[in-house]
Amino acid sequence: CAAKGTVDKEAQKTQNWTIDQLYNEARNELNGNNYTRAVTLYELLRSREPDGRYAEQAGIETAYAHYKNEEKEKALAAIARFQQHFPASVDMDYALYLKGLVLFDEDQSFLNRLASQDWSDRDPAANRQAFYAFEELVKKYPQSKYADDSRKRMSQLVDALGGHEIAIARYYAKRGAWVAANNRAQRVIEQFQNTRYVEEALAIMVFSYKKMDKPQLAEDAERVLQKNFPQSPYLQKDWVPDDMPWWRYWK
Amino acid sequence: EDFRISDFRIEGEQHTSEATVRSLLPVKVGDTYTEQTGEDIIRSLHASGFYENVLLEQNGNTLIITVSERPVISSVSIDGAKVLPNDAILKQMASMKGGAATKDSELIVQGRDNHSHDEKLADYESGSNYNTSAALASTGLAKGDFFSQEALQRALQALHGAYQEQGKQGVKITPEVQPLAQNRVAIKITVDEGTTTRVKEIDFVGNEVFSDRKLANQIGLTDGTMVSWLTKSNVFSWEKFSQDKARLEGFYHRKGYFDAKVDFDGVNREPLNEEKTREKITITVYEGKKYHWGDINLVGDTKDVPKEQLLKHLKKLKKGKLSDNAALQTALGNIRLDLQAAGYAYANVDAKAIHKDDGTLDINIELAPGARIAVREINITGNNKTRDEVIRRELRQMESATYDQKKINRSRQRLNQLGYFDNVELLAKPTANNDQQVDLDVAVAERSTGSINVSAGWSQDDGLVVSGGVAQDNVFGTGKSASVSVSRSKVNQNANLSFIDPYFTPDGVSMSYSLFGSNYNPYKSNSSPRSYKITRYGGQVMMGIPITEYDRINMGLGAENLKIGLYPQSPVRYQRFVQENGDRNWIYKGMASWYRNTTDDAYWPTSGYQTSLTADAGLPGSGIQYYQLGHQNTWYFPITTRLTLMLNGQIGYSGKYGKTKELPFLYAQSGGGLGSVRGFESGTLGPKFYDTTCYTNSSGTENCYANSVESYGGNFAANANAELLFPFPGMKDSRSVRLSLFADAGSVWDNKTYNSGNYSSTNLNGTNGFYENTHKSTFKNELRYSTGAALTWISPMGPIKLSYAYPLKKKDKDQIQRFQFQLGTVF
Amino acid sequence: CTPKLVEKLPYYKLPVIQGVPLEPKSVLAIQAGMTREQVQLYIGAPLLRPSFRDTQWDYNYEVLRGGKVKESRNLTVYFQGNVVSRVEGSALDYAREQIAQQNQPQQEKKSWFKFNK
Repeated sequence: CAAKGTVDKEAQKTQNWTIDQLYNEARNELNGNNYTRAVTLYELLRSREPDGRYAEQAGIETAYAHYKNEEKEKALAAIARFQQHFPASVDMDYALYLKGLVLFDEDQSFLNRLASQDWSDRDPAANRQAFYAFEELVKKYPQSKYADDSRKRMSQLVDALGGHEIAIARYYAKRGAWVAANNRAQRVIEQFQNTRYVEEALAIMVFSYKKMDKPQLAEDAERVLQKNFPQSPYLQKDWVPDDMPWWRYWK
Repeated sequence: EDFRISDFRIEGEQHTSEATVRSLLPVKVGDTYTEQTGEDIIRSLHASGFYENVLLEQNGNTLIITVSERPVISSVSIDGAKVLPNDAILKQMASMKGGAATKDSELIVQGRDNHSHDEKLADYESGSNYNTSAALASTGLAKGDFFSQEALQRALQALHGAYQEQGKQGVKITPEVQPLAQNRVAIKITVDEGTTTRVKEIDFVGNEVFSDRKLANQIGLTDGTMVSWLTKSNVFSWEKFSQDKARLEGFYHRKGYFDAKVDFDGVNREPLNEEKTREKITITVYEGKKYHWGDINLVGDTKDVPKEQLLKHLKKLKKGKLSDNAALQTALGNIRLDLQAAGYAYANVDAKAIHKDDGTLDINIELAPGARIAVREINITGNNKTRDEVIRRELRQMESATYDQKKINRSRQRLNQLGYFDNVELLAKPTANNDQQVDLDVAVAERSTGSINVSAGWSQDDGLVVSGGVAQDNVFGTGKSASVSVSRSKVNQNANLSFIDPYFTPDGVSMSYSLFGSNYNPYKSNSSPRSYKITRYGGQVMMGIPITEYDRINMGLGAENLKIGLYPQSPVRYQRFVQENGDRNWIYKGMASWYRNTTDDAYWPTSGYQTSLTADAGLPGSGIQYYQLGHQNTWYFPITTRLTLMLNGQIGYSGKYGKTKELPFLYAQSGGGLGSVRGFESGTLGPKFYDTTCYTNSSGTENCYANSVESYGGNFAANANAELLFPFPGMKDSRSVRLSLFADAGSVWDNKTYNSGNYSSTNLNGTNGFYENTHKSTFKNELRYSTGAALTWISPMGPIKLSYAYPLKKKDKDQIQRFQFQLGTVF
Repeated sequence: CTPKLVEKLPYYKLPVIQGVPLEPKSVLAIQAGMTREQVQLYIGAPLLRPSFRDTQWDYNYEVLRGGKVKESRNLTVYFQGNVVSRVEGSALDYAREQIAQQNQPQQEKKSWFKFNK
């Protein structure tokens, strides 16, 4: 069957190549964006010379090739294998950074950017895993050159996770599920204090307490809102489940 | 004895660098070395999976660690495997490294990474004892991995299990580990599959009441039939046996043998020859005695669920009737569902049977509802494109609310009915800190719902055909759908624009708006020109209102401008239409329909039914006053997990009222083609005529001549279809392709009697000799039926239906079209 | 016609349920002086736990349909430190009615006098 054939062809062709010849060939395949061939060459290199500088480099570059080839699982597997085989590698910070990028999975496809689809709407589990990966990098290698970009992406992810919670709180408030809306809003206040959603979360809590006719609790929430956001518009006018006007079709 | 470590010295490492060993050590310079730290060092180095064994020596205050590394695998090759393709096995083994690796990375995240390498393999693999492919995958033999003897043994054992499952008892697997330079190894596994072991004899033991032959008919396993080379029914496998076990037990239970049981270790397989190519299967059956129902009562606290509601499920198990364990199990299931619907998520209901010696059976159904459970949070995962609210609004179960199993089941059904997801899983997990609250995890796998198609072609009578369109069910994940299409050819030009917002209001009132324009001019077609032209344009607004959890009514208003263009020799039908109704009419359309859908999936329904009642009319004040009524009913019956039977029935009637004297053929019922009777060209059922053209010649007499055969539908239409749906052979679990065998029957008639005389303004029912004698267009006369096979494929371009049909009952001049094709999202 | 207008039409609206209906017996069992764990044993943890004030636990059970409340019962348990100080809420009367109804459903099918609130 074909698959086996190509591997042998590659193996014969590169039979007597030296290791760095093999590495350079794989390297410019990688730069030339044909990632599958780069991966086969890297694997050949690792099976010929399983350790040393080249093997280490090949390991991480395979992961990069899978990432660019949008093969998410394979990229994660390659990173995990690299972490296990070269625990003391000097590129460990890059491995963690790459893992974060793979999980971050910025889908910059044209359609999504068109609809400015904010990925706070997306599956939070993926965002959370990306956050852990970047957090591990920043904790273990604070001065790595990838640290500050990781910190930037971490705050983006926190904002997305906060956005996710507040979107659900708004939905349940619109739906009339006051307790659910209140709990979700409370979660934003407890876990996402430094995001931009705290003000609206407090407003939703006031709104839902009033709907459950719990005047004291509503006053508590209002007092906290007053203290933290003195000029908040929600102090004068209660929060209202704004419904997107029907003609704004794409939202 | 303990000492303070002042320095480490590491020897014997080759592949892994000294830094790697240091990074794995759980101790640092300066710690005191004790018996315990020694064990920790060995365990952690071993856990990395790099080292065969580790030796610790002390030299003054230096700790010398000599490691002997496991060799690195440089190549893994398998040959001789036919039933399981070589590279599938290799991929499985490599993927394990990937699989376990991701597992490792997860383990690391959960901080449980200090397991030894093989412990990780063990607990990964133990979870999959029966699933041979996962067992195969848990071996960790891939290029670049460290080789370990246990991993190789595990691979061979898993491979052996896989072959047994395929009925290859006599398989011989010989591994060969060839050492290479620089402590590397090449692994070569040769497999000699031997021939498949066929079941030659099946014997039942312990069955007094039913004969061996009767029992053999119940099960799938055979000792070789005409077709067993294809169905492999005479190859024994434990997976298939579990279905046979259920069939046997069901058979006994339905006959009243309440306690009948067949269990796995009651089966023994003995080879009939040494090469193990033929074997005999003996199945022991425990029959027990025949019982009739005694009295059945509910015991235990039903909390606030009314007892009568639960007793309703036991109505079928009447006292004295023959006992049926299966019916009892379904009753228990329903009772448990009622309790779960009231919030008792972990209610358990079990039946204690008291066997009386007079052959009756008293059943005490013990209820233990447990605590009432609340759903704290609902987490939705897997939605990379669809917005969270689009999924959450379909869920009937709310957060911070009582757990309701019926609502959860209904939520799964609604998500499937959206058609955006390949599969939907809802799973309740107890929350960490409080056992009376659960979190509900909704995991969806998205399916591409859009279809963008641009096609250009050239057809004989249409000339250059160019068409393009975009249809997106889940536009930017908002749950709204939009479709825009334009197509242009010599004969046919149309454009169509439609938007649907399923959640105009939070409770699911849907609004859809559409505009269309079309111009059909067969006069220009070079193959079969017909001299008339129809231009229509208009728009409509439709509102869908839910009236119960399952029913919706749609109401809508629309306006359409219809213009008929005539040419010198236009067919008389069109001339009469224009005489009667004028060539340009505004039609104000009113539409109303009731629709119920309890199927379990939008594209792949396997159970449930869909019914609809539709009515649309040209309202008073429109140029043409007509009305159309329709009713359709489709049932889906799951025969087996993969086989589904679909039955569909449809009837329709068109009529006229007010100033329109004759039902305009444009709004008559029509039949034929996909969705009606396949094998006949669409719209060609019903009474047929020679399409006559008349003109008055110079001497003033009317002169008519006929050129082609045409059918103009009728007032009544009815059709019925039966279709057996099954997955594409070889692609068992793929949900994108489905094959089916079908039988269609249908008729379009108008109860008028036609004579074969020449058609003229005085003899309106003449057909220019199309029928030899008078022909009354009745249901029977116009009935056509056909049978054939069809393929449905959910392509990235949208659902595509291809069908090949053979008309069984046809009359001459029927326009037959055996091969028909339809792109699902027809605009 | 905007969504607000259409919302007013009397069509099927999903009954939105919040909170858990509590057992009449266990609601009446809550007495002053009980610890939080004892309360939790009887009626479980509250779904609504206000973060700014932990001296009270709120259990409310509500069924809404299209924004209009169809059924609503609430119970608030006030705490002094870790001990219940007082219990109030419409769930108490509802529980008493339920218990009364269960005890003698046969004789008085229709009781013509109203229970005193």
